[in-house]
Amino acid sequence: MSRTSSNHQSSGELKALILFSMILLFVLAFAMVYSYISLLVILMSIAGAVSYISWSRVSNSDSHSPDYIQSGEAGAASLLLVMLFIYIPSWPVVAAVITTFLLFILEYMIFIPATGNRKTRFLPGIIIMVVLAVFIFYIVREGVYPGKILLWAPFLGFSDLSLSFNAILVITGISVLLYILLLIVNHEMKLHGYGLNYIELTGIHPTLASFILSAVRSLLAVLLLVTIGWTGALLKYLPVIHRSPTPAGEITAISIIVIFLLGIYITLVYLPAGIVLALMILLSYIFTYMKIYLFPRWKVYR
Amino acid sequence: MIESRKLSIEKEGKEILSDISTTIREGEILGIIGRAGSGKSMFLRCLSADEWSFQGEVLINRRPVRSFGRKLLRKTISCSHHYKPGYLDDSVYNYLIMSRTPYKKLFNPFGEEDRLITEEYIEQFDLTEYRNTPLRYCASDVMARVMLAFAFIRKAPVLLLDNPTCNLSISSLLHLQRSIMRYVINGENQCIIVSHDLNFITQTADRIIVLDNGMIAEDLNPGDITADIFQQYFDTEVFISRNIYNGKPSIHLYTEN
Repeated sequence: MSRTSSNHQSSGELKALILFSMILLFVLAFAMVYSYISLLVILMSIAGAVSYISWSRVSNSDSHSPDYIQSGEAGAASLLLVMLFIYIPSWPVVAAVITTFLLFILEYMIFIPATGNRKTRFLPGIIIMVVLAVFIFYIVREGVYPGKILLWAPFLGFSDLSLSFNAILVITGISVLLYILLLIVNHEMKLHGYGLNYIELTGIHPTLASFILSAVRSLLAVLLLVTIGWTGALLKYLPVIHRSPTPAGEITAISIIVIFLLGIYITLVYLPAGIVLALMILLSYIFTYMKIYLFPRWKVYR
Repeated sequence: MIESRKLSIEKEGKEILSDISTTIREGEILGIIGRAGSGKSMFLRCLSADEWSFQGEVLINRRPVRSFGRKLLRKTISCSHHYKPGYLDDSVYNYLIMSRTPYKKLFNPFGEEDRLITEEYIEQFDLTEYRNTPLRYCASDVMARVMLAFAFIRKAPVLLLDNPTCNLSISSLLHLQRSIMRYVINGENQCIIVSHDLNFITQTADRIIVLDNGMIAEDLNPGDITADIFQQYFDTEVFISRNIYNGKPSIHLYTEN
C-alpha cells in the first residue's frame, strides 16, 4: 500500500516537473521571439517563485494571514534598502546583505511577536507602508535620492540593475537551497506553526526555534524583494498556492507563479509601475477583507 | 511513578500551591477536584514541567523532573490542554501524528509504529470520518477529541488531562473514559485528571484528591466520597447515589424546582 502511494507521489512529482520544464521552454521561446523578457528576468522570477513558496511554508500562511507585503516585512526591507541605496548606491548586493541582517533584528523583536496574534497581524504592515510612502514622497520631493532606477529596485526586483549573471545564479541557488532545506525540516516547521508549546516536542528550545525562524524569514523576505519586489502582492490568491504542501503541488505552484510574474512584468512594460503596484496591493487587501469577513469558508487552504 | 514532594508555588505574592506531597503509582488514575482557583491546573502545570518556578520537587521514577532533557520530558509526560494549534489548515491525521515527534529523529520522517499508534487513537476517539478534515472545519466536540487524542498518541508513561470533558458530547465522554482505562491497564502508565466534572472523576478515577486553597484537603477512594465533602469544599448541597453497574458514586444537585 505504501509502495503504491509512494509510486503515485513520484509520478505526481514527475508530472509537475514536466509541466515546469514545458513552461520554462515556452517562456524561453517567448523571450527569444519578443525582447520583453530576458533570461535574467526569467531566472529572477523562478527564484522569486521558489522563495515565495518557501515563505509560505515558513509563515504557515493561509488565505487569512498576511503575505510578505501585508505583514510589513516587505515594507521594512524596502525602507532599509532605499535608505542604504542613498549611502551605497553602487553596491546593491551589499545593501541586500545589510538589509537581511537588520530585518532579522526587526523580525525577532517586532514582527514575529506582533504577528503571533491574529488581531494584530496586519497592523505593522499598514503602519510601515504609511511610513514608507511618506519617506519615499519626502526623498523624491527633496531630491535626496541619487538615481531613479535604484529607487524602483526594492519594489520591482533587482532585474533592472546591472547585476552580474553569477550574482543572479547565486540568488537562484540560495532560493532553491532554502526550499530544499525547508522540505527537510517540514515537520519541525509545522510544529512551530502550531505554536511555541509544540516545538518543544522536537527537543529544540522555543527561543532558539524563534531565532532561527526569524533569520530564515528575513532572508526570504529580502530574497523576495531582490527577485520580484512587490509584484507578488496577489500571489497568495492564486488558487494553486495553498492547495497542496507536497513537492509536486509546489512545483506546479512555482510554474504558475512564474507565468503570473512574467505576465505582470510584461504589463509593467505598458503601464506605469506605481499604478500597477498600488492596484495590486489594494486588490490584495480587498481580497483579504473578503476572505476574512465575507467568505470565511472559501476553501483555498494548504 | 510520579511524586510531588513539598511542592509550593507563589504568583504575585499569592501562594497558589502549598506543600503538596503525593505519589501516583503505575496503573493508577488520580482525579483532582476542587473549587475554581484551588490550584488544580497549576499543580498539573508543575507536574508537566510547563511551570518551573515551584519550590520542592517533582520526581518521575525517583528522578527529579528538572534533570530531564526537553525531549525526554515530552516522551515521559503528555499533557492535554485546550490551546488550539495556531495553524488550522492541517488535516486531523497530519496534526495528530505530530504528537509522535519526540520519538522521531530530527529531519527524519515518521515511522510505521507512529502511523499505527495514530490510527489506533483515531479509531478509539471515533475520528475516522474526520481523518482528512482540516482542523479549521472540526466542530467543538471533534476538536476536543482531537486535542485529547493528541495527548494519548504520545504514549507517555505519565498522562495529564486538564478538564478533559470540556466540549465533549455524551458519546465522546464514553470514548474518553474507555481510552483512559485502556491507557493504564498495562500497569506501566498513570493518568492524572483535573476536572470540574465531578461525576466523570468519580466514575473514572481510582483515587481522588480534593484541593482547597492550594493544599491537599482530602485524599480518598471514590467510594468514600460523601455529600459533606461537597458542602465543605464546594459550598454546594448534593446527594449521592450509586451507579448500579459499578457501585461508584454519582453526584446529583438539588435543583430549584
